[in-house]
Amino acid sequence: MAGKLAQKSAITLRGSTDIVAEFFSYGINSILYQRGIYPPETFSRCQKYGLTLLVTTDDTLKKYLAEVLAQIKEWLYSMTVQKLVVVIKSVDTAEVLERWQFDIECDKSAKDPGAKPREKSEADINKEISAVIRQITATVTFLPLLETACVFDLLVYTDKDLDVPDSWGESGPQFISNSEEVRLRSFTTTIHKVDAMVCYKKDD
Amino acid sequence: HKLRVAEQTKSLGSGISEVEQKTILQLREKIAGLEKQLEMVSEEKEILEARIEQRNLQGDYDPTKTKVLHFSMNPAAMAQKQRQEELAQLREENRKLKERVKLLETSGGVVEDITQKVDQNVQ
Repeated sequence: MAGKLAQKSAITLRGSTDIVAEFFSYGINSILYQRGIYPPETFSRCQKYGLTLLVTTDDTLKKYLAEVLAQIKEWLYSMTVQKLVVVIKSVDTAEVLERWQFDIECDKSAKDPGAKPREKSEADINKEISAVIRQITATVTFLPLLETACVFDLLVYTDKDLDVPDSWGESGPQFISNSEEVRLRSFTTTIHKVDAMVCYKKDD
Repeated sequence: HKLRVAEQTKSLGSGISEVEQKTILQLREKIAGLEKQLEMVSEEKEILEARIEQRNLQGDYDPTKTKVLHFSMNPAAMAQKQRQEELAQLREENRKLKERVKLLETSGGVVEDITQKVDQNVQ
């Protein structure tokens, strides 16, 4: 993350991209851990954003996340990504039980050659990210239990005319039919703004 | 022959203020109506904004501007594939095991070439 700290508080497009992609990495890991998608013992602790976060040690999962996030980083840089969604589905019925959605707003003017760098301290951004992650944790406490074995997928909403890389394909949006929705907090680097929200199947 | 102005205006004669009195009444009614409309339209707007918010939270999108992609080899797809493979594999394995058991029961437990024989029989 060299270029990001050229000036302690100047945010560049590259820098913002890194910050957002890193958040996604930690965020997805948190969700997978808290919703029990992978066994707890497959996670190990680490410090980030002033919190103790859990990240997976499972090689297959790590490899998958790395590939997807690398691609997402490119799309964050070109500002062609609109949302990232973590869908949690029952293994057996393939029914979607939860959707953790992150809306991404890009300030296109930051791509202009003569664009002035934005002023925002890394500390402030981290504080905001920290708040989002803590809220995700708090939210989990009232979500319905996931009774069946679950599996997850990562969906990315992009601009329609984007070239689809070979290893990617179109997926349906995988809505939840009878849902409750909760809007969570957001954070912004001044170049990318990320809004978090969760949608879950009603518990009846 | 006389070219006459329409009868209804004839009777208005020089009663000019009748026009304006009527217009004032209309304007007052119009103001009352506009205020009522403003109220209704503001309500509609709020209901619709709440609805759009909900759609958003549910993950809705405009397919003319957006598409939804995922990495083809994703955990959910892998899990499903795995189940199918496991199922197929178990069936195959069970067939072989049953054959093996049969052979074992026939041949008194002698194991050499049994695997080979199982495979042959199972073909």
